[in-house]
Parts: sequence; structure tokens; C-alpha cells
Amino acid sequence: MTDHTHYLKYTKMKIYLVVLACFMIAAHANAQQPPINKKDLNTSGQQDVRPEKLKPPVPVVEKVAFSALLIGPRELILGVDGNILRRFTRMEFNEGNGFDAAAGVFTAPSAGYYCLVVNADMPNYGCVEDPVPLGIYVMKNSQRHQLFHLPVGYGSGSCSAGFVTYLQLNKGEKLSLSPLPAGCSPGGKRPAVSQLIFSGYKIM
Amino acid sequence: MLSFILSFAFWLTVPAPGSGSAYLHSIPPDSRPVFLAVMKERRTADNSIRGGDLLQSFTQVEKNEGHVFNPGTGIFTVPVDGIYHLTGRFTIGCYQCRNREFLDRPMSFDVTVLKNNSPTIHQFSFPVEYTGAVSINPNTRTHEFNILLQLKAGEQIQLRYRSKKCSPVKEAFLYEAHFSGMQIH
Repeated sequence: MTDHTHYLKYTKMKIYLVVLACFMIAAHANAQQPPINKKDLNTSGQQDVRPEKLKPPVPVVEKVAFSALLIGPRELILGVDGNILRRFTRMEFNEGNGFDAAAGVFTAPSAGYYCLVVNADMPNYGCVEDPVPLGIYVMKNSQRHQLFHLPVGYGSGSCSAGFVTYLQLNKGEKLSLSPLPAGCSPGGKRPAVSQLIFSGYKIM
Repeated sequence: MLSFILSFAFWLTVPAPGSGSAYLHSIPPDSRPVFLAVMKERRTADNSIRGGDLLQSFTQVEKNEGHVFNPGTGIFTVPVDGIYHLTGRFTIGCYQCRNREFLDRPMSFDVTVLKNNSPTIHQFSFPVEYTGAVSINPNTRTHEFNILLQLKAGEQIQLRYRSKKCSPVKEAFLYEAHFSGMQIH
């Protein structure tokens, strides 16, 4: 009789331990699973497609780089082409498709910091006494933004000059170059470019 | 009892959520090819000792990530396809002739970017100035170019420089040159 109660006591203990272990396993398994999201449950019986999967987010264009070449000689006359350097001869590259060679306008495909690199070859002016630089405005959304004075040599031949600048742009903002041509003394050569490269890239 | 121990052991072996992504972040990102080399020596444009008119024998290499630049030959070998930003900076002396020829004949210090030994569209004619006499002042001017190039792996870039003479013995000397580059994309 005593043995029987003893046996019963131990059986109860065993059951108790097994129940406890089952509880712990269940709790552990529960902790491993993410909480159920009602959106994940497909009750329609149709193909399992989440609504947000149908409309993918618009990818941010990270790789942006362009280089446009203008082969001259091209006289820079005030008022021509809306005072913007347009009609670029060819694109060297145009990652992100931000540059319009015909319009001479770069449209930022995504927001970020950009580096602009401009190089110009200019025929020298024919006047010694009155050295005039060639001004180039960086136009941001058709507004004068930054002005650079490129030194022009004198005598025959040509000279090279350029600039590098950094800008913060929002998506869709536009950049172009606007020359500020000024001749030296009357009879001297008119300001012109024999070659111009308008290039840039997105830094981050 | 056994299941209790097993569940405990199982709980210990399963990694905590998020530890896998932490491992990925600890892998360093690929380093980009970058180089910066300096030449500090007075050289003539037609120097035959230093490999003709090619800019060679750089005296100092500040940075050469990925060993893309050979300072001896002055050649940058493109490691991977991409777009590169290259910079060249030249400190050149003034001419020592002050004559009509200076105006009549084109005078410039010319730098050409060569790709696989052929000239590219990137050719620069830096203006030179003249000084009346030999001066103790450092009659030098520094000019710089920046270019963006789309390059393919294995292509070789180097610089050529030439200065025109205004008299058989008087030319613009090169005093210092920097050549640097980095991959953008």
C-alpha cells in the first residue's frame, strides 16, 4: 500500500516535469517566431501576393556621372541660345541619364552632393593691354549660382582653364553653364571656346 | 526531464536574432583605387634622361591603394572598369625672354593625357608668362586640370608634357608635378 502511494507520488512528479518541459519548449518556439502580422495571412485563396510587393519603391539613382564634349570653335555671343552653352557635340558617358546634350542641361536624377568639373580651351585674345577673363556662370534652376573667371591668354594660340565645384542638389534640380562673354579692346578677337567639357558626378 | 535539458541546450545553441547581420557589417567594404604621386625636381620639357616628354620618375608616392600607380614609369593602370576622377598639377617657371616672338608665336606649357600611349581629347595648353631677367624670386605658376574618364580594366594612363621654346636655350622649366586619381563609380 505504501509502495503504491510512493509510486503514485513519483508518477505525479514525472507528469509535472514533463508538462513543465513542454511549457518551456513551447515558450522557446514561440520566442523564435516573429509575431503574426494580419497582413501576412492570405485568406482569399488566390496567389499569395502582398499589396506592397505590387508597387515597388522607386529606386534612388546612386550612380550618376556625365561628361559632355563641345567641339568648337564656337564664338560666345551674348543672347545666343538663351545665353546657355547648348548643342554639345557628343556625350562621353551619361550614367543616370541626367544630361541633355542638346539643351546643355543636367537634371539631378536623385538628391545629393555633386561635383562639377568644367574644362575649356579658349583661343587667345589679340590684345595685350586689356586682359579680359572669360566668365562662366553655373546656373542652378535658371538662376546665376556661381561665377568663375577663366584666364584667357594673349597672342596667338590657345589656352586651357577650368574649374571644379561642389553643389548640393535636390532631385530634379537643373544645372547649366552660361558664358559671360566680354571682348577686350575693339578689333581684338571675340571670346570663344575651341573645346569645352562639361562633366560631373554624384559624390553621395 | 530529458526534454527539459534538451530544450535548454537547444536554446543555448540558437544564436540571438540579429547576430547574423552584425557579422556582415563587420566585413570591411572594398577599398577604392586611389593614388597620389609627386615629382619635385627641376626638369626641362625635352629631358632625355627622364624618358623624353613623358612624366616619369616620380620622387614621392603619397598614396597608392591597390598598387595601381607605377612611380617609375608614371603609368596608372586601371584596375577595374569604372569612372575615374584624375587630377594633374604643374608648377612651371616663367620664360626668360621678353620679345615680340612671345606674342607672335604660340607659347604654352602643354600637357596631354595619354591612354594606352595615344593622346585623348584631354589636352591642356597652360599659359606661360615671361620674366625680364633671371630673378631670385620663384617666378613660377601652378596650373591644374581635373578630368572625368570612363576607363576599362587594364587601360594605361600617363601624362605627356611639352613646353615651347622662345629661344633655343630658354624654355619654361617644370619644377613640380602632382598626379592623382580615384575611382568614382
